[in-house]
Amino acid sequence: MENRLKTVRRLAQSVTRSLLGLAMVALLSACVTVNIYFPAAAAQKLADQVVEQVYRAAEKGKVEVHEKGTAPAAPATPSASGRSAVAPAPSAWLRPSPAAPWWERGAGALANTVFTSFSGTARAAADLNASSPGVVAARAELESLAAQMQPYFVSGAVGYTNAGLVAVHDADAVSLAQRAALPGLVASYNRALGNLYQQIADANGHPEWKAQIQETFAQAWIRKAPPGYWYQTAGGAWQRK
Amino acid sequence: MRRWGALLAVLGLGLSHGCAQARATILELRAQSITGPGFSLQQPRLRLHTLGHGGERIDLSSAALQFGRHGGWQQATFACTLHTSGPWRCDAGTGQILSRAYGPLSLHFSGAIAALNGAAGMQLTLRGKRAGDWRGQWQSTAGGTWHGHLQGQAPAQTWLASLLPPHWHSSGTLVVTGQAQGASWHELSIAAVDVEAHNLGWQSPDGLQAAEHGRASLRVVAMHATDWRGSAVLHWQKGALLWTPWFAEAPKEGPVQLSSNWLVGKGFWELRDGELRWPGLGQAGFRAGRMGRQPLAWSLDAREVQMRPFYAQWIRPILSTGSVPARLDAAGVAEIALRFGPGLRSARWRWRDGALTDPRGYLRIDGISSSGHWSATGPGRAGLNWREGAVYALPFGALDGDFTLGPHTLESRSPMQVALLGGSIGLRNLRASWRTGRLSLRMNGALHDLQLAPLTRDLGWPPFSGTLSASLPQLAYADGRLSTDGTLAAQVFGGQVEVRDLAISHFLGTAPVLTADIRLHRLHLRPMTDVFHFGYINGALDGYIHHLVLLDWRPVSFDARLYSQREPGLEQEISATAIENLSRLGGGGGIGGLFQGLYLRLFKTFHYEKLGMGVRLTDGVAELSGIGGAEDAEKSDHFTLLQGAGLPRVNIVGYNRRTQWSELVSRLLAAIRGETPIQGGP
Repeated sequence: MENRLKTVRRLAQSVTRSLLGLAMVALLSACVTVNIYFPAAAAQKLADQVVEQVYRAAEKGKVEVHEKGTAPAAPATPSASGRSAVAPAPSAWLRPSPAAPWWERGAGALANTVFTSFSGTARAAADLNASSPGVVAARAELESLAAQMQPYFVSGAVGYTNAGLVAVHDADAVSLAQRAALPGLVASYNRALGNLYQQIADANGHPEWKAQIQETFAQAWIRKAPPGYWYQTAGGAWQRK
Repeated sequence: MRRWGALLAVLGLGLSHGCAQARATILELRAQSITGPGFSLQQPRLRLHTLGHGGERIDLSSAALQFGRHGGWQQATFACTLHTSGPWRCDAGTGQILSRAYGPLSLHFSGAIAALNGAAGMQLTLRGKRAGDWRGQWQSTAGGTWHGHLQGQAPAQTWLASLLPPHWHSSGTLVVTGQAQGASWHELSIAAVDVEAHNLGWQSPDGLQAAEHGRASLRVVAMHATDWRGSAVLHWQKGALLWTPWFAEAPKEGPVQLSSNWLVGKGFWELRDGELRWPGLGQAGFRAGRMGRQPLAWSLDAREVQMRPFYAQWIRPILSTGSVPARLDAAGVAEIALRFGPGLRSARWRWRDGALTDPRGYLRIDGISSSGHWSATGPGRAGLNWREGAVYALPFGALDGDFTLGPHTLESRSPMQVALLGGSIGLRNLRASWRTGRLSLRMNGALHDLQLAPLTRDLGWPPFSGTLSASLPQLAYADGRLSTDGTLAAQVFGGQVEVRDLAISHFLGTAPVLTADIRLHRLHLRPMTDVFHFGYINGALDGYIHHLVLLDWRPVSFDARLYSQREPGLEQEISATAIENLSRLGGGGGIGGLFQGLYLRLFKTFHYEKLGMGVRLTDGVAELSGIGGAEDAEKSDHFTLLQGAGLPRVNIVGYNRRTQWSELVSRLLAAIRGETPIQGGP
């Protein structure tokens, strides 16, 4: 009888340890989702692409509507195997190697289940979607206005703020005729910028990301700005690139 | 005497009368202050120094002076040689005075006073770096009447400083000529001043209010009776004026003329019979006035206003940059009457021979005429007519609209009808609102028998016939989004196409986004394939295009499925050409095999049991499926586009489920044109 009780206790302890272990695995997996919640690297890459495109459109004075598959930044090419390269590559979480031992595959599947259950958005967060109609339309609108803004940037009448928007830097730098349109143009451009940030956040299922996307773009506008453009430093002072 | 006795307050008087020499006498008068009608002197000192030969040297100084309401004169010293033999005369007068507004000034003057009858005269020159150079003459009679003449020029900065807000910069030169006369020495009865401004400019600290290179002349005539009244005429000849968001340049056709009579009384002022003539733009009468602390009230009655420059110069700047109205060009002639105070209180207008044109070619309305009146407090009424127009490439016909206007709303009084594509669009219950500052618009109506043949011609599509009719329970426009609630039904190819939940964002904008759900019912394939030169197919087609999204009129996503539906009395047949095109569309390179080619060439048409194709477009990639739909295609490595019937029988089976959308479109276009498509990666 005692032996039975001991066996039951040992079994209970063993089950408890196993459950604790599983809980730990789940806990650790949950931590991973928090770390990659906002895909900063992907956001930066996207911001750089969009910013370059807007600067290019402003220089050309021409608006191009970039849809997925036609944008120069994201060409789709056939793979060596002849299969379409447009097929999305399965995530490493979702595609354990068939050659791996069963326990490794099992652990991967378990982690994947936990990962997915704790954060359904983590996979979406690994990359940023910028091809929704809303984003593309917002980009086209911005590029259209950027062409009008170009002389104001070049002359120094307008510069990029450290908040990812634009502001009047020196109205005196342009003629009176150009100056008349300046406040309205700045207001419209800021509306278009705000709309772009919101559309990117919405397209990725996270409207609350707008502030972080705007912050990322703020750095990109300044980093990629052509020489001679004015921008605001982190301290708020105006500086010429 | 009474006046002097009443107003002269001598707080302290020091008198020293010494005889240093037998022939030289000095008389010195000092006072703490002297106050007279319209002036006061602080710590004045008068010093008379007899020089013999009938002349005296007179020195007058004062620590501070005030004339009328203008203070800020300090450290004044005046000196001249006074001749008292005969009429009193003051020669070779000099003076220095420090002005808070005009800086240090130097004066040269001479004057004469008739000793017996009290007539007097004075000549004055005044010079200061900030005050400029001035010459004046003044003559008075013993009866007290006087007249004066002043001429000079000064930096505009000095004189505009008191008119402009603090910290504004100004530049330029003012040349002034003035004449005045009065009934008594301290009263002005009538005055006329001519001011010419050269190279005039000013600028606010933020640079958003400014003027440059201005040349203008102003003549002001003033008369005083019980109150002040007179006239003013301003000619603006050259230069540019910026009052953000408005900018104006002096027209090349001639000067802008602004004239008005004016009246200033106790606690009120008024401009009457004002007239504005702006060459190239039009002319207007105006009046303005302010009573006590009540808000400024003014009105403008503009006539023969040329709408092209008026819209570009005065309307467009207040519209949102990038919006459709902000890029329109207007034409025609208008009469506009506006009443302000405070804000816009009422408006009345008449616009004839009008037009609105979008330079991008998205919108054009010709033959516009409109008249009406609006009030901030009560109902108004407006009429709007146009002869014709076009939106995108689609022409539309005349409109005859009658509206009731509220302070922030517009409502149609009767149904309207506009000819469109051989049919018409009927509009009812139109209601527009701009209460929040943004225009929103709602209406309902119907499309009646719109002909698809002219539509396809205007859009450059392959021509096909049919009619489009629809009921529009609600058509709404707000924030650049046009949306419909209801079903648009088109009778085409012997069947029906229904469009639901149609909406267009960024309507008439840079990149319009169209969303809709479409259903196809019993479309006859034969006329359709005839039109599109796809090869002969007979039968009927059902299908849908769900979640259709067009960006800049190009598809970016949808879920579509087209499939044959057996129709009694309609043979299901397909030609060899259509089979070949269908196989290309499904991802094949055409019928390449020798046996297959021979087989198809041997029989021109084949019967089929089922025909179907699905396309799901996402992110530029099209996922294809066949008669079994997307679910069947996912379970298998192939999908069937055509399932033959009887003998000879042909089946078309596809294996490449995923393809670039651009590649699929090029295949379809090549099939329609009868070309062999360029082989790209599937």
